[in-house]
Amino acid sequence: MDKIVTIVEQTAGYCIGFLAIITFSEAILRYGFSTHIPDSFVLGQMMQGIAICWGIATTTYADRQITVDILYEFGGSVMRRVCDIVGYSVNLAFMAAFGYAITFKVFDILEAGEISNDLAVPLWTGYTLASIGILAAFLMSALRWWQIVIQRQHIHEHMMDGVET
Amino acid sequence: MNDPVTIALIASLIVVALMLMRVPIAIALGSIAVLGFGFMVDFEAAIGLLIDSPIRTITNFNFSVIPMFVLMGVLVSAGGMSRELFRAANAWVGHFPGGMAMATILACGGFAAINGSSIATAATMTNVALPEMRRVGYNAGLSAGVIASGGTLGIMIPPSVMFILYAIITENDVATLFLAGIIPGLISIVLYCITVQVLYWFKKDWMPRSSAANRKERWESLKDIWATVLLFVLVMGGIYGGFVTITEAAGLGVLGALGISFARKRLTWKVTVDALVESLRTSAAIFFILVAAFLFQFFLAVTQAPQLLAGFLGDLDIGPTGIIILIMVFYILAGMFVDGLAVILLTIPIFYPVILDLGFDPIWFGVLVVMTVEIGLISPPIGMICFIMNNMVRDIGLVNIYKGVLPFMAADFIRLSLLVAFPALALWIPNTIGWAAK
Repeated sequence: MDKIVTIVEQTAGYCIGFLAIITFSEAILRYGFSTHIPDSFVLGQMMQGIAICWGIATTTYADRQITVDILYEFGGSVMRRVCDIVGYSVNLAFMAAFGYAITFKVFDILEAGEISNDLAVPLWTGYTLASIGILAAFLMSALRWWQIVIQRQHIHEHMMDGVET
Repeated sequence: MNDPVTIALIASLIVVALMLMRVPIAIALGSIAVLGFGFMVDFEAAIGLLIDSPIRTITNFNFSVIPMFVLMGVLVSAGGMSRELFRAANAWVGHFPGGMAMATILACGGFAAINGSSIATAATMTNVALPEMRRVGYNAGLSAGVIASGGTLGIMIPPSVMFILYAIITENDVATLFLAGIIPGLISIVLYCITVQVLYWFKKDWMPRSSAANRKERWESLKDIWATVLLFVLVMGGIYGGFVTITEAAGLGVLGALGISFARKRLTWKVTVDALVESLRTSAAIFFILVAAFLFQFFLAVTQAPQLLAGFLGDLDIGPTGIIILIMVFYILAGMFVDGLAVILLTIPIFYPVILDLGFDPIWFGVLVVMTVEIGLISPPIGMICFIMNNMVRDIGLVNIYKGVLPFMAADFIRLSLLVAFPALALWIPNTIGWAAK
């Protein structure tokens, strides 16, 4: 599982790198040669959407979302258990709703037949790839909920201390 | 119970309770926002909100500046530019009393100019400066305090991820905010250096003096910082020269950092991939909170709580400055317990209309807010930077790190007071070069 997550993370990371390349190249082409990359805007949007949605999935798997750990750090084992049950259950419920909503959005776009301006690429393709990330996040949160709430496993060695701000 | 303000208040309390129960901040905010919206309007509309709003936020190309500036910061950290900055600063000021501490602060300031993250600045300088300071016999707690405080410059001196987020949620101009952060950032460097001098006065044995570098060594040390200067000029010069937009400047910064580091053989493919993954993790976490914050804004909008709170604060008999001080105190207290990013995203929609109603400048307010986030990053009991340093260097101890940052927090409070008293400190540069009017 860890290996799959690593591959997914790296692929999503490339999307961010690709986003920077698109943005940079678009600027160079526009200012230097008065031309542009066809559908660069849509392409950038899609790269960003896919990267972030897949990033949410992997952060969910690795327990790296930003949390307030004060009670958890200083509370006893009962408090930690309560925090685990509440935390992972709310997480699962929200991800289920989010997964449903984003799937609905993809079908919405598919039905509307939205396409990009320059190359007429169907937009549902990018949205589908992004939505798979959120559905994966739902599955990851279900896995974590099962492991921690039902099976009472301890997986907090994966926890991250924070995020760069 | 159907009073909208009561509902908003109860919802906010539930959000805080969920956060304390270690529900991820984004999930706590998002779930209560959707439920609250459903309660206030109807649940079909709430699901509609969840269908449209998050994906719009995640695919908003204007927000692409966040992952790109984050990536640029990670790349310059990996590229070793911080080491050169520290070496140069130490060659020039290292022989003064408290010289290495001041060199660390200067290097943090320089690194902040090419990196928009406080935690990245502090983490990088922990690897670079801390071993040197301890090698020459600096007090461990003081050394950690200097680096943690210097690290906070990362979000004040442009480019800054926090300014970008503030600009996004308040629809202000990022370039103006960047300019407004310059003088407060420089004041911070000066005040931190004065703090070092005061500490040296009382505790000379905490900071042994180093021998002076000769003239040749000093000038040679400057040769190595060309990469930092070039990257800063590329990004900031590009923006303020009118050549590129903020988003394009971020892309330019990424490619610039990558190109410079590859040319100097500082990056391998593996390090680059690690940097991409690191930036993805940070960006995903920021975006998820951004998604939830926008959902919460929709909920607050239907309760009209921000307007009512604005009215309430406006009616307080403490004057506009009193209200600003009240808000700052709230931010500092909140920043002690909750991640600064979440505090900003959660509360700006509430306080921002109040600030506008009172006639305060939104750019100045943005600088004040980022400053309070800086304080929150190092203040007990949470102090994210202190926690991360404690994880990186186990033998100093969290309590010693907190003791080390306390004098510098005092300097931060002085700076905050100066900024409240003299808004021109933030607004002078944008107003003088006419950027604020654009």
